[in-house]
Amino acid sequence: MGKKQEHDFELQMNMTPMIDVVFNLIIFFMIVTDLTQQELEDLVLPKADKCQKDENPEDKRMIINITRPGHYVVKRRDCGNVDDCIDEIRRHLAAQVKFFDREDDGASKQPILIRADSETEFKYIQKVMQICGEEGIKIYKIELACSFEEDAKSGPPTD
Amino acid sequence: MASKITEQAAKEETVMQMTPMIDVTILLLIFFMCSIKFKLLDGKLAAYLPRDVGVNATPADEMMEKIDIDIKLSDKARLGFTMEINNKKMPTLKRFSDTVADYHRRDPEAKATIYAHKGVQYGHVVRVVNECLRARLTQITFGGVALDE
Repeated sequence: MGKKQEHDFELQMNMTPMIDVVFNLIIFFMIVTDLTQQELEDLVLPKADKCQKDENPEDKRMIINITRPGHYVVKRRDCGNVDDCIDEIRRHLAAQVKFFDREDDGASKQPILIRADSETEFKYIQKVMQICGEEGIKIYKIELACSFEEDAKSGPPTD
Repeated sequence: MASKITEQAAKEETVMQMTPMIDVTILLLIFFMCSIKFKLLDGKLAAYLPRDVGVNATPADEMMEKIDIDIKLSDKARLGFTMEINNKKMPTLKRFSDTVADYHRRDPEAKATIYAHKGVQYGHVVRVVNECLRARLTQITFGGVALDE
């Protein structure tokens, strides 16, 4: 009698928790993807065949973007032209560097990654570098962002 | 007749077809899981800022071979810029790379200081740094040039 009743039930898989989980995962990945992109401004990086892959970057490493017209952009925040916001850059770097580890002479252990457009005038980067070397900031390790040369075997033109 | 049909329709249980939605969401999930790996930066070139300037000046090692590299903007040059090593003009990138390699061979501890002059672009500097690395010279620093020169 009991066995007959059991056969009458239709086994149905409850999909609701699975859909919930999948949606949560999608939201998580969408946000994380956005966060990882936040620091990287859309720039045309210069090509180089001797650059290293940016794998396992150091913790707390700061990324600075300098756009073609010389705008200082950090985490999608455009501070304006480097010439016009020297004090703001100084304040920003000084605030960030507080979280960096220090060597005996007070220099920062963490490097700073500078991303600039291939056609950005180097004077803007130079100004940022100048501020990096100032007392109270002392970031001496610099990483210059570039993209891999597609045809590394042939090498760049010789003249 | 019409009322019969509506009654029949009301009796039928409407079931939402979940399978395509689950397919789409799982595909989306797979896409995000895969694409997240490609959000890393392509590459980087390591360089340093000089420590022997400013308030906490430390004496520079006099014994070390000094390589001063000047990058100047030039409309006449095919690359759009010219390079000088210790005030000696380098006509080609190959010549530049060979000269740097010579310095490095003489003194593996040799340090290069790059001075980028007015109008020089980031791409030009990266190209020169790349050539230095090609010549196995890794000790690269940047010197200050009068910004309003």
